[in-house]
Amino acid sequence: MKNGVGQPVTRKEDPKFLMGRGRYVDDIDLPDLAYGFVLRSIHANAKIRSINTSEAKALPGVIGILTGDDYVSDGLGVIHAEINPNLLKGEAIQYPHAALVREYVKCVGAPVAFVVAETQSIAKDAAEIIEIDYEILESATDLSKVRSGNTPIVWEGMKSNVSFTYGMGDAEKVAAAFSDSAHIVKSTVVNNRITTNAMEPRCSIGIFEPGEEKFTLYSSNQRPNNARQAIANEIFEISEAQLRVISPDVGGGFGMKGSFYGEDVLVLWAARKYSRPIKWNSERSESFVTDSHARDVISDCEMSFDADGKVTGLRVHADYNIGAYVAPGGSISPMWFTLLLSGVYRIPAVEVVTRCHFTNTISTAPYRGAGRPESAFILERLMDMASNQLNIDPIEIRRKNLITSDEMPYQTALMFSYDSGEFIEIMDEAVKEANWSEFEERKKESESKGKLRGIGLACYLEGAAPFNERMEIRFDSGGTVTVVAGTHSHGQGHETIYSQMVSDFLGVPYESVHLVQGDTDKVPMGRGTVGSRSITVGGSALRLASDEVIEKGKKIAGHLLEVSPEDIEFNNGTFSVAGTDKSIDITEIAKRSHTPVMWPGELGMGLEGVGVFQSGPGNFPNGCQIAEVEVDAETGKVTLENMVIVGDVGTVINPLLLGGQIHGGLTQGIGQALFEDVVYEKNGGQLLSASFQDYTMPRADDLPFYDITSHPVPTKQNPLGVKGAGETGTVGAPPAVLNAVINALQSKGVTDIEMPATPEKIWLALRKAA
Amino acid sequence: MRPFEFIKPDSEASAIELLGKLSPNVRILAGGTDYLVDLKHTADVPKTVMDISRLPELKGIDEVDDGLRIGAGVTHTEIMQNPLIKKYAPAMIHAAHTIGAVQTRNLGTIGGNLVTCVPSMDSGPTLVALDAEVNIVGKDGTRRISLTDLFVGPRKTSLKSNELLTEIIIPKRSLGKPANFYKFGLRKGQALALVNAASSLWIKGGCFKDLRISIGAVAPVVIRCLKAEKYLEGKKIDEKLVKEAGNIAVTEAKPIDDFRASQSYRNDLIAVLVTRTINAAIDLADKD
Repeated sequence: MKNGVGQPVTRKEDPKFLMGRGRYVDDIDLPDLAYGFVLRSIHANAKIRSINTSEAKALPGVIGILTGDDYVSDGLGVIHAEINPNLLKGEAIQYPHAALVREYVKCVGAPVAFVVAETQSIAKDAAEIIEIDYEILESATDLSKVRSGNTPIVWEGMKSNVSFTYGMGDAEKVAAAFSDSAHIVKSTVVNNRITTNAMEPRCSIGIFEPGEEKFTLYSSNQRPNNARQAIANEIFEISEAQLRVISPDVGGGFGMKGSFYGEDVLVLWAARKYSRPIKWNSERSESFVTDSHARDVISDCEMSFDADGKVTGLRVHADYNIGAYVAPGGSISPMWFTLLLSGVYRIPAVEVVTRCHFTNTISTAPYRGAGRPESAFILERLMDMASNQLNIDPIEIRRKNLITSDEMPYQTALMFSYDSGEFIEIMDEAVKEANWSEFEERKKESESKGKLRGIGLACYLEGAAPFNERMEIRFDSGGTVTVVAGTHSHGQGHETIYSQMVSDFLGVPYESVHLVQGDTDKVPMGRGTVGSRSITVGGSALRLASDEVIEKGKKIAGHLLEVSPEDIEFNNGTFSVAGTDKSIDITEIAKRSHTPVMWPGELGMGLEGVGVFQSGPGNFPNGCQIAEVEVDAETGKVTLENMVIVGDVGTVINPLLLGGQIHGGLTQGIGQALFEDVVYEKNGGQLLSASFQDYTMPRADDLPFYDITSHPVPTKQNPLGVKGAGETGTVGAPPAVLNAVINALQSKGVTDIEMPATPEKIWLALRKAA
Repeated sequence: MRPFEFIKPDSEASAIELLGKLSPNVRILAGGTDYLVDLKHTADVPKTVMDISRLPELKGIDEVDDGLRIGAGVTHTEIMQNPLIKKYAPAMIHAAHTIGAVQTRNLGTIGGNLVTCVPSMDSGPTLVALDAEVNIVGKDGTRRISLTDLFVGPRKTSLKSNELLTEIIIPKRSLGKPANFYKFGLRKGQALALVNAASSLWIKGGCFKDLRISIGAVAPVVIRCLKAEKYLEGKKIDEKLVKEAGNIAVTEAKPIDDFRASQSYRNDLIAVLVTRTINAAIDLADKD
């Protein structure tokens, strides 16, 4: 079927975006719009002795200046995170934060004052002349020091910097496995700190209608319904009906825009206070110090093996840097990390302890992968170290330990049970695709040019598709279909893929399907888009909504064709009476259903359906990635020569869009492995990598063409057989690339290197080993 | 950013006149790729900004009596596309290509790159290796100095506040001279050089002649490695000697040590890059 499920349909959204006709928050202009600018802390840890705004307030064009004291006196609520009680060990300590801090600043970038003015320039000029008297305190930014307890306490009165600890598994069983083991591989695995850099920096507009006492928030947010719920209930203590949240076109989210931010609160508050719509637009340099960062985990890991090279136990004691203030999504990555540490392997005993530390840095929160890349990185580094220490080929040691397809469903020693997967078959396919058997020849060729060459693989799995979702399908009287989605597309191409599905399910033209999303007044419920969930959970709900449309259509067709609904068959857009030539088209039914005459009451009015899908345990996209690199030993420069991915994301709805997801995901994973690093000053706590000059995003010319193969093993967890596709590239790339780099350096005696594997780190490792 | 006066003269003469009147309370804007970034963040907003991007006298690349003249207002993109540069100084094309991104190269000018005088400038080493000179115009007329005499320190040149750098001259003796530029950054494009280097040379009777070695980002300004040059000058082409010249060049540099790269790494890169640029220039040279 043209444009149906499985077809490589180009995106409906592309002409709009490619021709600059998208409508992002910053494109929205309103009469009487005023502008807000956030004055931020320049210190990592300091006491605010005083703030003097009088000169700034007097600047012509300044409408008002708000501080943390105003926030408290106006009685606004605070921002906090939900901690998962099932994983929590001991108590959780949060210091819920206001949208403007008072008394203390606990990281560079903490919001101190909100200046509202007629223009953004005036607001910035006014911010420059606000006088703040800080008493600078010692700060703690470096996780390696924080985890050793060797730093100041971030929040006065706490005994340590641990905010909360997640734990899973069976420590005694692991201890027993270790004592019986033939070999234990130990390593401290570091997952470096990174930041998202969405193409569209965050932007918010707040509006307050005094007559209706209703707020409207435009925000670049992945989950508008969640933002409404939290801001209405926790910050303003108003009914959700009094807040409309609109997320129009959003230029990339990657989890970083998954929760609301303080600036969303500030524009709403200021709009009410000054009776003007207020826009706040982040500049790129501001996004480096205000968008949540991610990863920044150090783990002490031990993996035990029997004499045959089979894993018998795993112990991971990890430390997460969650920043100075726990972000609304701050506990999500530690949760996925903790739950997924069995990965694709048969590990009889696992123990995970994940301590989450306050530091004087920006909050960390989900970023593409959110805990999954961290766990996969540990497992795949340990596998390669074991391969080295036990002298077993890296492919073979994985083969010994990968869960086989015969063992499905497989209950891990942690929480999850995997329903499906062909991990060994996928690894073998990737090995073949990467032409691994001829690697030695390619290596010789590199050596003849004076270069080192390495190959590395990563087998990985992730957990996708959390929660439930609600989708609505509505026909108008002309037969056009509107999908009202609880999900939110911010680059993924949902309008295309939902159109493919509806066209396939209901036999309506692909062109006549339209998407409504991202507006809480139009979408009554929805969980937004995070965690590789939209096509699995949202798509399955769409299938159920289509089924409801068909059921309703059958009743109407039965009435119109004067037969019982049980005798009506539905096929490709046509309702027909079984065994006759009597039929009626779905668009005709839609048309008549809007102006029914003399119809029985139970047929109602209009043609629509609502589907709700509960994903249960979710699903487990998985794959194997193989990286091949060449290293210039004189400079330490790595060239990624080849990148193979064989992935299982279940049934493929649109291979072209899947390819896009994999490309982006791989690139972000490779970025972390080779280029990207958030660097804080070791003592003063300043963010050093605070612009694109020093935060090295990968560019197309740093990357090879990717070799992408799909190996679908449909899941039984949803009616479509689809597994999540959004994060799989990012999960496997860092270990595959690192393993390849270390493989290249192995002959020189290098056994480990931290991400990102920059030229200097490689140069240094080679010098140390020599 | 506070308000300032913006002026845009239409000839070199009127620019010089205005400069004479307004200096030192005036800053010059050409492509703006460096200065506009500064202007957004600086507390020191000038009284006047003078835009020289449209001065016709600062445009064009021409063959003149004493060599090749490159207008200071020529953009990096224009350098990359110019047939005379391709014929006489192709290493400059390579150097220009490593500057910023397409947009930066379309706006940024060679004169701006030189007078901004950051140690990591990518136009510098190749021009120094080709013995380039610059014409500087002030109210008393034009003076010509060697490019190396322009550079004084980080973001500091020997230009007086009422002078304008108008032209770069590559002397006739350097036209067509085998030369190579090498930049090492953290990625291929849009990256700051950790170290950059350029070498040029002739080969006469199998020996080095008029060897020039220049390195950037490893001293307060782009420098010539005179000791390394002297070490190889007149000697027979030999891989080992070239490597030793790389080591000598290290002794002539004073790289900084910061979070972008350590001093010892930069030192090692100097040796590698100098060696590689000399070897690449040897490959380009006629060997008789």
